[in-house]
Order: sequence, then C-alpha cells, then structure tokens
Amino acid sequence: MQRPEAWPRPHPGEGAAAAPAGGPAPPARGREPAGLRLQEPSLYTIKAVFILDNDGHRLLAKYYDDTFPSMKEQMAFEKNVFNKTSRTDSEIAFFGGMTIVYKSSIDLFLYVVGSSYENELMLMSVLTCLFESLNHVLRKNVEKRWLLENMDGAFLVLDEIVDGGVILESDPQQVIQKVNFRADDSGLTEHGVAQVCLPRLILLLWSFLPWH
Amino acid sequence: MLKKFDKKDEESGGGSNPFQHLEKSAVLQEARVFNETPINPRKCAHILTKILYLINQGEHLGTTEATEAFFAMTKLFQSNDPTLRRMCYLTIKEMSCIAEDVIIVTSSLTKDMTGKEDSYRGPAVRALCQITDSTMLQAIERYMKQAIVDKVPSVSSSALVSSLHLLKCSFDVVKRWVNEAQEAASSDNIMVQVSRAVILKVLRLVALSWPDSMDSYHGDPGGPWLEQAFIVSSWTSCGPSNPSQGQRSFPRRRPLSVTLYHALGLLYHVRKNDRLAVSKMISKFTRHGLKSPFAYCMMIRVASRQLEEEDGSRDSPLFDFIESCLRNKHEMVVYEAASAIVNLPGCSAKELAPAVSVLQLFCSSPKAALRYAAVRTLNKVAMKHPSAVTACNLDLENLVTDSNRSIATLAITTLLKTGSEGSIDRLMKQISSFMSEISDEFKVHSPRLPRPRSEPGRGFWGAGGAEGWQRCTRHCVRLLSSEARSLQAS
Repeated sequence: MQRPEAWPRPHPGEGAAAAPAGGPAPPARGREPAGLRLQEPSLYTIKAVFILDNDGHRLLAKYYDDTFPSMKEQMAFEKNVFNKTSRTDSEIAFFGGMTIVYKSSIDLFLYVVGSSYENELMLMSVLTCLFESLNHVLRKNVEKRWLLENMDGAFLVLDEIVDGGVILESDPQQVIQKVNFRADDSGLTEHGVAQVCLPRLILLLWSFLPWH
Repeated sequence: MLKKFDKKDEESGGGSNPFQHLEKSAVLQEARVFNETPINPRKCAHILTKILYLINQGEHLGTTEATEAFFAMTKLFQSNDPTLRRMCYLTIKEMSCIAEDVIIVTSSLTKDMTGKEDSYRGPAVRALCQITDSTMLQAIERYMKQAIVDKVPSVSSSALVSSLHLLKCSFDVVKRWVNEAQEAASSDNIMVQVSRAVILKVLRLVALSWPDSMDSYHGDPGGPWLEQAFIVSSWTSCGPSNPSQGQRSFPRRRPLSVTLYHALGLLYHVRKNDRLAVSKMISKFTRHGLKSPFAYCMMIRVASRQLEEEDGSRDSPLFDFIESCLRNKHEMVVYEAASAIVNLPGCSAKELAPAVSVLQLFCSSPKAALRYAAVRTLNKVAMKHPSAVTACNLDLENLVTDSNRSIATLAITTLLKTGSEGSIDRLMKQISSFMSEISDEFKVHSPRLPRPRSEPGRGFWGAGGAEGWQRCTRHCVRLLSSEARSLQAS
C-alpha cells in the first residue's frame, strides 16, 4: 500500500477532519466567520500531484499529506476529479474542499491539488513547471506512451519540483538542468528502431493516400 | 528505454504500455541483477523505475521483499551514472517506510552530499532526511548545518526544506540549526559565504564603470560599502553598466530567491511563537527586497498573521508592506496581497478599496485560475462588505456565463449579495438556464442568507416584499450546488 510521503503531517490550517470528496462541506470552524480566518503561513502548499491517462487511470501520483491516507481513497478521489474535469476545457476546479488546477495534453491529464485557502496562482506555477519540464524531457511529446517509456524522467522531474508538499522549484529551466534527462530520440536500445518508428511511418503514409 | 513494443496493444488501439504486464515478484526477481558486476546503469535504472511504478500503482510490498530489494539497490552506489544514482535516491525515499534498516545507506548519502557532484548533493540531502529518525539526528547534524549554508542554491534549499520536515521529528535539535538558517537567509552572511572572487569581480567592474565612485572605498573587502554594492548586484542579478561602454552586466546568475523562500518558511515555523523575532525577520527581509514571488507571498502571509495577532492598526509598516505588494510585478504576489487585505479582520471599506479594484481587474483576465481566485475572494468580501463589491457587479455579471462552472457559481452567489434589484432580475433569468446543468445529488442546507437589498413589493418578487425575497433567494440557493455553498464557507 502506498503511503503518502514519509512524514504524516496534518496540512496546516485544515484541522483534523479532511473534506470528504463530494459530500457535504466540513462544518464551520472556530470563532471567526467562515472564510475570513487567516491561514497559518506555511511552506506546505501542495496536497497532491497526479497524472492520469485518457481513461482516468493513474500513471503517476504523489500525495503529500493525510487527506487521503489509503490507496483506495486516493483512487476514488482521482476518479471523481477526472469525471469532473476531463470534459471541460477549463484549468481550475473546486472539489471536495480543495482547489484543483489541471492541464490536459494529448492523452494525459496533469493535476495539482491544494487546499481551498491556497493561492491558486502558486498551484498554477507548479503545474506549469511540471508541464514545461516534462515537455522538455519528453521532447515535446507529452503523451501517455512517451511518459510511460520515460517514467524515470517523470519521477525525477516531480521529485525536483515538490518535496513533501513544499514547492522546491518553480522554474522549469532549473528543473531541467538538475534532472538532466532526455527521452532517447533514437528509440531503443534492445529493440530495433523499426519496431517503434515503422507503425508511425505507416500511419503517416496512410494519411497521405488519396483515397483516405 | 523501457521498450517492449507490444503488437497486441498497438492493434487494440490502446497504445503500448511497457508496464502493462508487470508482475511484482518478477520485477523483484530482476532486482537480483543489481548484484552483478559490472553494473549496467540503463538496465538497473529500468528495474528501479518498474519497482517505483509498482509502488505508485498501489502494489503492496512486504517488509522482507522490500528490504531485500533495498539492500540489493545499495550495490548500485558503486556506479557513477547520474540517472541511476538519482533513481537510487528516489527508491530510498519510497522504501524508507516499507523496508527495514534503511539507515544503512546513511554513510553513502553523507558522502554524496559532501562530494563534488553538485547534481547529487541536493537529492542526497533530501533522501538522507527521509531515512533519518530522531535517534540519528545527532549524527547528521553537522552535515545538515553545512548544507544549509552551502553556496549551491539547490543544496541549501534541499537542506532547508528537509530541516522543516525534520522539525516534526525533533523540534529542539532542528531548532539548533535555525542559526544556520538565519545565516543562509541573511543577506549579510550570504556576502561572506559566496566566493570572494565574485566580490572582487564586482569591485573591478565598478572601478571600470564608475571610477569616481571608488573614492569612498578604502580597500576593505568586508566593508559596508562593498556589502551594499553586492546586495544590489545580487538581488538584481546583473552588474552595473555604463552606457558609454555598452551594456555590461554579469552573466545572468539566478539569485538565491527560491532558497530565500525556504529559509523564510523554516525560520517562521521555528519562531512563530516569538512575536518579536518574527517582527525582526519581517523588517529585515522586506528592507532588501525579496525577488522571488514565493518569498513575497510567504512574507505577506507572515505579515498579515502578525498584524492579526498584534491587532495592529492600519498605520503599521506591516500593512504598508502588504499594500505595496499590490503593485508588485508578479500577479501571484498582487493576488496574495489583495487576498491578505481582504482577510484582515476589521478592515474598513476604504482600506479594502485598492484590493477590490485589483480583484476587479483580475475578473476579466484570460486566465481561468486568476478569474476564479478573484471571484472567490470577492465572494468573501461580499459577506461582510457587500457595498465594497458593488463596483464590480458588471464584471461579476460577465462571469455568470463563464465556461468554468465554479467561477459562474461563485459569481452568482456574490451577486446575490451585492446586486441591485435590476441586476437580480437579470440574474434570475440566467440562473434558470444554469440550473438544469447542476446535478440534483448535491445536498444543500440553508446557508447564511444575504440581506434583502431591494425595495420590497416590486419587480421579480411581486408583492412578497422582504419575505418574498428570502423565499426566492432560498429557492435559488437550494438549487445551487453544495459546491457553491462550500465555496462560500471556505
């Protein structure tokens, strides 16, 4: 069972109860009027980052606090988020008491999740950094197949951007420099180039045929 | 690459997935190849990737098998391949909770973090802190102290962030490192830390560009004049230039700005109960300029928290600082400042005005995230000061038809509080088409209702008056999703 990264820490300011996905919102807290309470300043800004494919299946995911302690809850959350966001063209959504910023690329969906108090532009900067870094690592093919073939690069990229819920780096150039990883353009080491390129070549030629 | 081009997958149209038929025991069996020499870096990195992928997908690894794989992985430190080494660090982090005796790699990690390879050092620090428990803290303390004040920003950042995580483990021990963090964040000591060669370079360049300015320099490399020059040059990340000699600047060097963000965060976490220490921190860092938008956001939060605790007057320099951030060049900072002002208790409408006007501008931004942020914050303002938001009504009305449902919902709930009767009429008509798109499964119980603002007995409400207003509003709000209600409550 995958646990969130080794430090089970309550996300500051959220209190013990996590907002259940899709249900009624958490009860109003404390003496101040709801929504006007000041958030405790903290470096812990990111709750989760995940990448899903076109069917909503997880390709890569990292959860940084205990909002969803079990794999089952995480997957349910991802499914719900996917259902809510995959058909729309927007870049931001609110769900389950959390702010979610997202981006789709060919057949992938990238998500960054933060608390509803969080600065949305901060979350966007993480998302942008993630996308731009992957764009470079995957040689502008931010799609499922290339991501899977270069999963190590993807793991490393994410590791350089967010550490335990803290934004480590937001400049894609810096991330790229540190990771120093690029998808192998020649295709393969063990298998022939033809095994990858040939089907693509055929498809390309097919599209040029006059009766197509 | 991990290629296994599966013809079956291509034909099925699903695209190939190199991990599709991964089986845990087979992968762990493959891990035995780590013991072979010479080490094949690509192959070993692939296997590590497969293990990490399995864990990521929820595959459960038993303690024994995880420990075995972990110990096999330690052999890979013999190879100097950068990607393989980085994958080892990732594996260490992932397995730190699952495998036993993970502290065995401590010496390898401390070696890497003090080694020559800068690209290893930051990640090694972070991996080290992940495997460290409270009993090991003393052993790694001196390494951590060195890393925090390291001149390589990634090392310093990694050490600062890891120290933050370790605060949970043992507050007192890590607090001792705070002095080091203070040094790292303090611009005075950064001057000393960074190589003398750079300092001399500044001097040389300035001497060439502004010969007259050298009169006040008395040749003391540690002197305050030099410090000032260096502060200015480092924070602007380019050197002085003389128009007559063409643009002359330093090679573009990234300031230690993200590191500053981390240092500030760590310092605040440690000192937050000491109000005086926090005040000093704020005044010191706001004086020099923070460069990184993240550092600014952190500072705004700290300042507003401090203001709230001090119950400070709006004449305080803290408030001035936050207000000045409304004119920052980064949208993130501007939004943070507006949000902070809006959230400060006891703000008058006059104090809110600059924040509200900034949010009003954001309402028409092409970026959905910014529109969402703006309308969410205006919604909060409208709870206490609906009159302050009235000026934004037109912009909010435009947002009612936004393609993003969350934005549209928030715009509606805000307008319900701030709208005039005429605009509410228009709103009701728009909402009726909107209603059909909202699922019935959302439950709503009665939120705090906006006060009636219009004249009773007229227009949409018929003769119902204020009561009629409340009935209709309840009806509308009930029809709106729980998403809208929790947005209000957040």
